[in-house]
Amino acid sequence: MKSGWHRDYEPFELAENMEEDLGLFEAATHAHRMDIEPVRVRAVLAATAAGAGCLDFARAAANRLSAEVLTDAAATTAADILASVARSGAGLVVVPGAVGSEVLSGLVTGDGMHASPAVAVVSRSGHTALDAIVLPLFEDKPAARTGLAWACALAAAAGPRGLVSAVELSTPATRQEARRLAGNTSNPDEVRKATVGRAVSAHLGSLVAALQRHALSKGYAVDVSFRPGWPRREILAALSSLARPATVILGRDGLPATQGHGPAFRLALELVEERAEAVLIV
Amino acid sequence: MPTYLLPPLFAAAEVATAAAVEKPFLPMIVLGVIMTLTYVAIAFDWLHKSLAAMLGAIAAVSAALVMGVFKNEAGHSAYDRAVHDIIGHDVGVIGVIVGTSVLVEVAGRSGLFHFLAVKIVKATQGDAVKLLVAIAGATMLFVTFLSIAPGSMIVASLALVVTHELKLDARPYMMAVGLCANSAALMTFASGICTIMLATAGNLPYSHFFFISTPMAFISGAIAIAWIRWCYRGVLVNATSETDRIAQVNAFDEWALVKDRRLFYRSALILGGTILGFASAQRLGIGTDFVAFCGGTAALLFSGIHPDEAIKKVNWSLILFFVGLFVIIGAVQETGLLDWQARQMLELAGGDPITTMLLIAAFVLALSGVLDNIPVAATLIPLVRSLEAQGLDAVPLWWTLVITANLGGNSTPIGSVSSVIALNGLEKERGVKVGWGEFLKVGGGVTIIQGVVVLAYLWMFATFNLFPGAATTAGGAP
Repeated sequence: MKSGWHRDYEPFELAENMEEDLGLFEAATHAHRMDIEPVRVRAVLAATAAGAGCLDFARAAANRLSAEVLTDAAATTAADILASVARSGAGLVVVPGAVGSEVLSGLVTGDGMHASPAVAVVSRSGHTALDAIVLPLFEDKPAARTGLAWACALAAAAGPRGLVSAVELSTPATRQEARRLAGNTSNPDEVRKATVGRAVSAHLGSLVAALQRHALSKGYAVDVSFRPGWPRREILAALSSLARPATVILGRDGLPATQGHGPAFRLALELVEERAEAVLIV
Repeated sequence: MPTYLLPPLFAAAEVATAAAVEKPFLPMIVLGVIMTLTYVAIAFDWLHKSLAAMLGAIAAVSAALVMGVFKNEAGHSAYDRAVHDIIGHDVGVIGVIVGTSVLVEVAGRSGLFHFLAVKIVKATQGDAVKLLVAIAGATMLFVTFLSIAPGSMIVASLALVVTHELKLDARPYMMAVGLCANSAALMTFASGICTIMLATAGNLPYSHFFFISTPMAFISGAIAIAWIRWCYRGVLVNATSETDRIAQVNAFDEWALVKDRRLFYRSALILGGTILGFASAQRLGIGTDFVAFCGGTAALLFSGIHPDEAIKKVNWSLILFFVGLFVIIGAVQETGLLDWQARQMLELAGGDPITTMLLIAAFVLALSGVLDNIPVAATLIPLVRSLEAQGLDAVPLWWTLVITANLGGNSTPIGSVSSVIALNGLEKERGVKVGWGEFLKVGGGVTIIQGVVVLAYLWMFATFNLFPGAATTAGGAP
């Protein structure tokens, strides 16, 4: 007699919350312990005619990674940079935002893309952007673990000021899983946001657990949030909600490749064009 | 029957009878019909509950004004008496619900309770029977702090996932969630909306819960666990070897579900502070609605969750429903109908307060199984006030309502929000349907045993004058 209206008596969106709870517990029961590989970088290369903010960023990164700083003002194209990296053995290249798009485009199409070191495109801030990291998480894959390792290394070096804001994002696979959870519906509009969140959380439990444990041991803060929209928009929203300079870290095969381009590079390009503070591709 | 009740009871009853005789009969019938129609419309889903309550309120106030139920008084128009005074009388309940809704939303979503839940499961090492006790215990713990819906939802989700992983039959665990949540609603002032309503209406001190309803929460919870254990003895068996299940359970990683460590520390602090506030509200001379508002505001300030996110989780539909319902009941009360009903109840009980209390207990236990306990409580609140006005000591009656309105929901699958959550979750996630027959055997059995124990418990408290504050109230009754 009252089953229809009963649930409305309590002040909660029951179905949404239950999906969220199920996702959390599935994450806990599916997670497997993983160790975070330490990041080892011998040198940080500040390429092109790096400005003050860019050099500041390179020095801070080198300091946090216990590496030395190298500069090469002559390396202004992707090919030049790769050649410079090959000579110097740098593990991280820092380029200013003004030439970031060109460099990234070059790296997307260049032969050495997969062999290239980590690339940071710095648009505005200097070293303070390294205290807060925005870490998009798509799938539990080696690239995501690499991104996680970099985020942990940089945030840990910032100590109590350090923050990793992990943004859980959906992929075609998790959206498919959400449709299955919603009763194999063919209409994506019928799938609740919370159901997609549940599928995503369940997949990313190991990464989140590793991040939280590392943060607990090193004393920096972590917040994890599921964001249901398009990656570029959601990452920018996460950046803006932090209200402090931050670096976005992208694992380079973080998205399934399409049309022969690395999607992480395309995403990085979009973020650079939107003038994100700093974008680091690892 | 305690002799101290006799003189004021009969004297007041005579006065009330004389006063009631003066009340015209037609408004009682008209407004009684409006209230009944509103309840029927809600119960049969003819209208959205808030809309039905608001329409009912408009009809009740209009009828009362036309029939001259409300009189102009110095400084107050008839309309003021009809609406503003009535809502003002119950605004404390609405304040507590709004404040705690925001706080509980933040605390419930902080991950703290989810983290604890996985820790509790790991402590059982996956043993089927220990897990049943752990799930029941977690339900009681979480509902105590988060109230029925959010608390039972967290544990229901946990039970669904863990039983799936351990290849256990989920039914006993989901039944434990559904039935133990109603016991947990007796734990404290803020453990359920129905409890909040009754405790606010009866001005029941927070600390008195520990003497009266908290012990009953443990007793009724233990009854539920034992009965479920017996009913499902054949399926409470592990499917995997001890070594395998221990390894499997130990691999569960509670850190995988933590979203923000800072948030759960802050939530724990704010929740703890609010509970302390509730406990000391009376001593400080402040209302529990003020404490709830402070807790809600602190949650919005320090949780890191965007205020809009938390505020929109307050069920404003419920608030509108309450406003409508309170206006209807207030208007009906003005007609003298509830006083008349109270007198009928007293007559039925032969004027004996303990018999009256036990009659109300049995009535509410039965009614809460088929009707939601919130409208049941909302209607019985003015009835208890009428009984109090007629000289009956109200304190035992408030506690009777608190205990029976919550436990009565155990008897049917639609009797409480926790059972609805547990059974819907079981069907949706695992495709397992618990039918009425199975539920009546388990939940109905629990309710019968709990009902007998509750009646004996209330009888003992009333007979030996164990209700704190009862003697004072009785002595001071008109």
